[in-house]
Amino acid sequence: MTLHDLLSTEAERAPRLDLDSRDLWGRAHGDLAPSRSATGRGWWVGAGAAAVVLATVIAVMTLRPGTPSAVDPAPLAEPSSTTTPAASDSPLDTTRLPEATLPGIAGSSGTSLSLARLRGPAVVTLWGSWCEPCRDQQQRLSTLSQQYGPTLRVITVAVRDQRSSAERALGGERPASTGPGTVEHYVLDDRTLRRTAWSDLQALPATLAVDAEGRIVGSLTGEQTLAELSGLADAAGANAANTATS
Amino acid sequence: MPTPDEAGFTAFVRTHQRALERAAWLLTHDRHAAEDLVQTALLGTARQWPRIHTDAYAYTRRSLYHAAVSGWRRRRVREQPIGAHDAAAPQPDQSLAMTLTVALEQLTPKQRAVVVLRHYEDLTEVQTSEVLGIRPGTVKSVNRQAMARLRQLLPDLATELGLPALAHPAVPKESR
Repeated sequence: MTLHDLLSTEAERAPRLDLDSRDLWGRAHGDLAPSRSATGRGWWVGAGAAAVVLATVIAVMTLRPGTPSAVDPAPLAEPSSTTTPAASDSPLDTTRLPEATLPGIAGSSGTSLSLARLRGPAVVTLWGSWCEPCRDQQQRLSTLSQQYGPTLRVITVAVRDQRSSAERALGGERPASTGPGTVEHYVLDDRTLRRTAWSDLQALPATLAVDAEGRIVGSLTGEQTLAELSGLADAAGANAANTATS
Repeated sequence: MPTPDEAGFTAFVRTHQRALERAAWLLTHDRHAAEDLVQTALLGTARQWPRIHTDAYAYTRRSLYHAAVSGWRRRRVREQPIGAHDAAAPQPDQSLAMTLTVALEQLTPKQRAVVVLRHYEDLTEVQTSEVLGIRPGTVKSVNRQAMARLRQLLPDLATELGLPALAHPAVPKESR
């Protein structure tokens, strides 16, 4: 047996990927400006590929925890807009949520959430109890949820975190605080996180808008104002049903 | 109604998807990362499609390997908890291929890319250097480091596979 044989054996185990050439073509030639990357050989090709990749990564890494609000360089939704979602060239736009089932915590204990099957309108915030801006954002998410009522699911997903710490940070919310106007809380364990595209995420909080078809239609990183969160909710297709604030 | 270009691209994807999947799998051993790689490479190809007059597969393969080696992807590896590096040696009941894959994960992205190109795709040093955009001499030395690392990680398997013995078997503890 040779190294080549072994590698070939393993290569046959490669999972079949769900590639959609039409979608790829659309992303390459749709509303995007043609790439100006060099067509030559060598590292330039890599630079072109890396630039595409970098745009993806930068889109989720702009901010570190503790840095105040700023806008994703490829904003998927106009950050302060409460009207239409902007077209975007971030791959997050067409990427589905990862396939993972998350257990509920705090008020959502006993429930679970399948990310891949999630259908919005929803606003999903990735956060950690160790991240101060994330904790500060919880209250605004709660307000957002009350403002939008049943038209919007407001979901938090604790990452790189202990369930107990996350629950403590959520302030002893009692189980079964569910229903319209309440925020749903889940936790994504590290092991699962590493299998997802989110493992590259370096800045928290990160907030995604998910539309009725389960597509990510907007994302912002860093601590967001209520207006910015509302912008995401609108991008997701929710309507501010209630005007009540807390 | 797809344009001739789009139809050509679709046919290209259909023809080469499996080959790209295999390479991406060997490079990442992670479904999501593999999907990322293939999509990134194909997206680049789709963008350049009207301007690619030579071999679209070679172009895509270059993008794929470059993306696998490019710096930011290493973060995925670095982010693994310390526990992953302290993990017990692979269980003996795993298949040889699996054991090898686990060892491949210990290589740097560049070493892995060279191993896959040289020993799976069976490219020459010169061809490998063209894919990765590095000098043939670098391919040679990276391959030598990779083989040394594999030999160190899998002494038994290395003998069985007839991995070349080293002229200088002393391998730095933390081989880069």
